[in-house]
Amino acid sequence: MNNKFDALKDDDSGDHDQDQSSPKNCEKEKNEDEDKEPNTAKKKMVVPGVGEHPLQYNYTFWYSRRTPGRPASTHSYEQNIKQIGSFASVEQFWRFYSHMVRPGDLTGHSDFHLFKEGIKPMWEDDANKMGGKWIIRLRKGLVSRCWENLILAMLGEQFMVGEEICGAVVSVRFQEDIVSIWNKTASDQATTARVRDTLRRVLNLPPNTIMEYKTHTDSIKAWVDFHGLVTASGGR
Amino acid sequence: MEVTLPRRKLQKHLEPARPLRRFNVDEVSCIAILFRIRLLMCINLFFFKNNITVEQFYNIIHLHQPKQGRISYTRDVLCELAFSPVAKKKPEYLPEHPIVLEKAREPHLMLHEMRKESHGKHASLDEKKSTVTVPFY
Repeated sequence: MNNKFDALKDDDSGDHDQDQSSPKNCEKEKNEDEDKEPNTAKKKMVVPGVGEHPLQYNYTFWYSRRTPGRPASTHSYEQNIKQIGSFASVEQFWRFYSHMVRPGDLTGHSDFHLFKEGIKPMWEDDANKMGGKWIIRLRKGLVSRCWENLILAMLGEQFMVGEEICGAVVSVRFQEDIVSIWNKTASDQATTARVRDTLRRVLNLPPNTIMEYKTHTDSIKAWVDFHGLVTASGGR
Repeated sequence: MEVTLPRRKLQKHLEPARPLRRFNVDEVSCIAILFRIRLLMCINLFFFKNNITVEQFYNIIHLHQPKQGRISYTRDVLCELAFSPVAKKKPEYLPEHPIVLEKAREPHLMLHEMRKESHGKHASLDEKKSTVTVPFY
């Protein structure tokens, strides 16, 4: 059980549950945190405003927060993950970003997700299902800067891996914070190596920072092992 | 024999045929240029009729063009753009949510803090960070 729990800590929510302080709530947290049906996405395409600097892709901000003690259901998940909005230009990005709390100022068990428009921040999305993510665990106090550097590198197309990047997640947990970047093809080692090297370069991390790559298949497997469920994603 | 002779002749004659091809290419580009000129004339007329400036026109073209190549920005460029007035406006469709701020955070402080973190010990001057209160519960 311990092993499974340990494995799950890495895997929860696709953004990693690190709440070691309250193992008794763990299962509920997972259920709440997991990727089920997200809010129905607005289909309206955003475009850069006149004179604005277009981005290579449109992106969508999402936010999720665990509500302790609530039963797992599609409904509760929908309440947990919220779309903040989509943007197509640098200026539009700053408009959203500067009107959102910084991750370092979040309380509780919360995640920001920034994904390309059309890709849901869940393992099962077509763009993610063959993919994986680089995970970086941070001691408290570093997360705001690290998240900002990560998303600026992503929006600015600094990873140079073609279409491979799907999105980025920041997970605020009890004792540490985690940032991760998701890519499409976990088996593409050239891509994952390049993403890792770019992360090292742009995040300016303390030298002892450990980076870990995890495939979503492994994440799902660990999740299922822990919960003993094999259901459609919506039932998680 | 009757067959091979004309072939040889033909091969010899083919050599100077190159300029002819070039002429064809020129001709095509001529047509293209003429077409562009006509197009420009139409566009000018369109500007004139609709009172659109050239700058506005480029913006329109830019928006509807499929993005070519990679649009990349360094962190510095992105950060600079945070200071433009458009970047500070509140987005129109922001959900009401505890993580959504009424007023934009100051990009100044944002950069300030980043600088502070990167310089580490020079932080004493920049202790203002603690004055940034975030209305989150």
